[in-house]
Amino acid sequence: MSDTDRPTKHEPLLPVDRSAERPLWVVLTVMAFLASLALLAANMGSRSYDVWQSQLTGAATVQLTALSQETRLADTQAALDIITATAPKLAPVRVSDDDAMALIEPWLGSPGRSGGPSLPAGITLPVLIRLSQSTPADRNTVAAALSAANIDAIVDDHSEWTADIARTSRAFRIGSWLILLVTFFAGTAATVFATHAVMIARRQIITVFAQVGASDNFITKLFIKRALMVSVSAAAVGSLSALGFITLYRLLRGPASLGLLPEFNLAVSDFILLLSLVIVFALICAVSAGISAKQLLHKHRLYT
Amino acid sequence: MRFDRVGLRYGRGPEVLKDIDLSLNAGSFNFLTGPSGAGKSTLLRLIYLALQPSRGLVSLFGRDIATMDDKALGLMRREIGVVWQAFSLIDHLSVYANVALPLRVQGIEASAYDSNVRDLLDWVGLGERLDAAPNTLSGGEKQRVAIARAVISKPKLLIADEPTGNVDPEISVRLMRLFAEMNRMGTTVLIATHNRQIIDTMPARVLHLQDAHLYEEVNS
Repeated sequence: MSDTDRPTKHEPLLPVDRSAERPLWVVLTVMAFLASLALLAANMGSRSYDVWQSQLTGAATVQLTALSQETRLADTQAALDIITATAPKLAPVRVSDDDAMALIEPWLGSPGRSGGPSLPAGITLPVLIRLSQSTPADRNTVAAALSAANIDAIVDDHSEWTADIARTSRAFRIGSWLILLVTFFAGTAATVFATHAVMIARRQIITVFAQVGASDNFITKLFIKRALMVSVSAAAVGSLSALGFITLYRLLRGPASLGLLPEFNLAVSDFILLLSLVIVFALICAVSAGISAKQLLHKHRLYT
Repeated sequence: MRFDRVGLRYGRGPEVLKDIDLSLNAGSFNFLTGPSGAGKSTLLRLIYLALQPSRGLVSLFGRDIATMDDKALGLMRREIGVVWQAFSLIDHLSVYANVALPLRVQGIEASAYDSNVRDLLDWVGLGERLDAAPNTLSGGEKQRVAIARAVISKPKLLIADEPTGNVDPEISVRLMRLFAEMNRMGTTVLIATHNRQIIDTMPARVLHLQDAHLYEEVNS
């Protein structure tokens, strides 16, 4: 077949130099990986906070203090009866001594070798009664009823814990968003740098494009298209790597959270966010390339 | 095209062009000559709108270029075909794609220009080299591709900077015939050349650039 019979090919106007684009691709992939991890962390943190918050909302603990060893059981039963009579919907449940001991372990240490509590001599283990679905009014009523019956008790609504969790969660999410912003900024900077370098390297081609009548917009679009292709690929690989990393971590360690860190459970919203991240990341890179190319064409009259 | 007392300097350096008065009439054939370093290429760059004058007025097709923005200048450049001495072909594009480039940047569909590009490449004798890469062509073939690219969009003005500088005499004659043919079809032609032989064989206006000033010669 001769050349004249061949169908017209639509050749790319900018040469595709994959070896020259590889460093930018690697940088963008790493940025997208970090951004994806930060985004997943923010979303998981937010989810865990919501779960903790809902678990604590309405929960309260009645702590019976100043109990003597002899009257401990009788006082506990009396307190349970008073609470049930005053506000039956609170479903009071006594926390077992083992569980109560476990709660104070961080301060007093673990039980001795004999398995018995290692409380200092003369101190009685407080009795804890768990309440659920309580309102502030319910808690006030219970506190007043116990006081009227001469039972020393503290009704704790966990507000201190809730505030701590809220603060920690907020700090965690702000940190994650900041990391996300920094990685986006770094991705933008890398794209701008690469666009400048490519434009300088392709200066002769740009001159020809301009001379045959290509507008600045036309030339800019060529660089936007190229940046979009590189950044979509990099963002997709970076996000999938982050997803793989979390999945692998979960397989090795399980979904359990570490302290106040969130549980590593993936939800549908995580996948939607990652998809959005790929799109936003690629768009930011493409727009940066476009702005950078246009500025360079306009300010330095690259084609003259 | 008209120049009125045009001057040009690069940065704070001396003027490389001084008080240039020039007009090119539609459909005329013109040579620009002068010693090396006289500023021929600079003058051509002013004409094909790659430079703005430091002073004076440049008007093209009746419009003052100083009043035109980047977009308008881009549109105006589509009316000017340029043939560079160094060909300035794009190496990663085929012969066909190089020639089609001016139409492609205008957003014209390939189906609309395909036959024009093939016909033009036939006309310059490269109809069988459509898919060839520029770096596989001889100097004369490259120059013919560059000319085909310059004229594919039927420009009103065709400018060539030393078009015969890198080709042998036989090819030079063929190239000049191409320019004459374009001019016969109504295109204004301006060719910068050192080649006195070529100037003497063509009945055309001759502009001589020396010491930053432009003079008109009478072609005998």
